[in-house]
Amino acid sequence: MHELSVAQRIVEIVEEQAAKSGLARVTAIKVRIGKLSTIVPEALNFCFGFATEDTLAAGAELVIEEVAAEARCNSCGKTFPVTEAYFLLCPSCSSPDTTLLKGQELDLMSIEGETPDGEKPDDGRTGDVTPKPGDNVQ
Amino acid sequence: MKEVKVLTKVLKANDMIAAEIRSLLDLHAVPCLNLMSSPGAGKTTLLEKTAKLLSGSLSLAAIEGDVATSLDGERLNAVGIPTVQVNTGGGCHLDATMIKDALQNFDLDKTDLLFIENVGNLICPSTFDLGEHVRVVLLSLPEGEDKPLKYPAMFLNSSVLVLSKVDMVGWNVGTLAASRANALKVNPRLKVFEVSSTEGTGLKEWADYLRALVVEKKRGKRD
Ligand SMILES: Nc1nc2c(ncn2[C@@H]2O[C@H](COP(=O)(O)OP(=O)(O)OP(=O)(O)O)[C@@H](O)[C@H]2O)c(=O)[nH]1
Ligand SMILES: [Mg+2]
Ligand SMILES: [Zn+2]
Repeated sequence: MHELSVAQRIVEIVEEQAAKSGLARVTAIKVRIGKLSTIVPEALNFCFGFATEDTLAAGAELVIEEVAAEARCNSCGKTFPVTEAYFLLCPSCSSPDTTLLKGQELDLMSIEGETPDGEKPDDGRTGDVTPKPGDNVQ
Repeated sequence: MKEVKVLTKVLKANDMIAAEIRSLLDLHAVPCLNLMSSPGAGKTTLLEKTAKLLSGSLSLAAIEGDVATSLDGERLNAVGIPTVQVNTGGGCHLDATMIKDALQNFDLDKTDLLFIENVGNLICPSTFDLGEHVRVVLLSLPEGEDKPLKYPAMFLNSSVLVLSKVDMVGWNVGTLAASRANALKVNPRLKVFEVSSTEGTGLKEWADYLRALVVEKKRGKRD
């Protein structure tokens, strides 16, 4: 049950970011969770409710994007889904020399909220700032 | 309504402290192993036996993580491994901050090899980088050969597998071959040791591996 400590970390980052961006209240938080990350989305959601209590993210919605696991074979170059049938063994050529590409994510993507007087974003950004799948996470 | 792009790893703070710890250990040429397993797979017993084999030639140290009690820490201190006990008070894993704090108690210039025994748990500890160099997962024969398939993250995130309690083969508790095969299926790159701490099987290979780690680390520092 490390979901509670993960939820607490999320809230810490959210508070930091909200302060930086001048958000008075946070209404939605988007996270990306890999299938191999050991985080159970339902458990995280459950803990999130407790972790946000009495914070500016109280009542916020946690939007979880699950990421399927994927690996690349260094021998034949093929990319394949990591499944319980073969895990990291290449299904095409049976090589064990493979690299996990996706599936271990535990990333905070974006937050959504309200500025004190309900004003529009003041960062000059317009349009959709939702992170794209290819975005690099620091 | 305003949307703010964040794009950060949730455990970034932990990862940064872990990286700090790793550089500190590198600076002092101290290899560090993070031992993880289900409760009771034999982590402490393996460390007790390791002390018997290595403490004549190497100075060992350990950080012992448990939810409660200092029982394991006392066991390791009793066999001559200076050990700092960390209690997580309910927490299911150690994190990098706990290791950073515990490290204050050691003189790293007088330490050759550091062990971290994580909280007995086959899931959560694999998510938290502690700044170790090698992640070791123990799988004891009685746990059953299906465990690598059911808890793949732990096996994926480790580079060494110790198949422990191999003396219990014959107790109808899952077979050694299947345990090994399932673990290698999840992570074909695992380096595998088959060990019985009670009978002494495989302990020499394990000790040789640890000695080699120390030599390699010290050489890396000189170069
Ligand atoms: N048969 C057999 N029993 C063993 C072996 N190694 C450990 N045990 C027994 O397994 C039990 C648990 O061993 P520990 O070393 O305390 O296990 P642990 O992984 O440190 O347990 P936690 O710290 O509680 O997670 C003890 O009763 C040990 O005597 C072994 O090689 N063979
Ligand atoms: Mg123990
Ligand atoms: Zn291939």
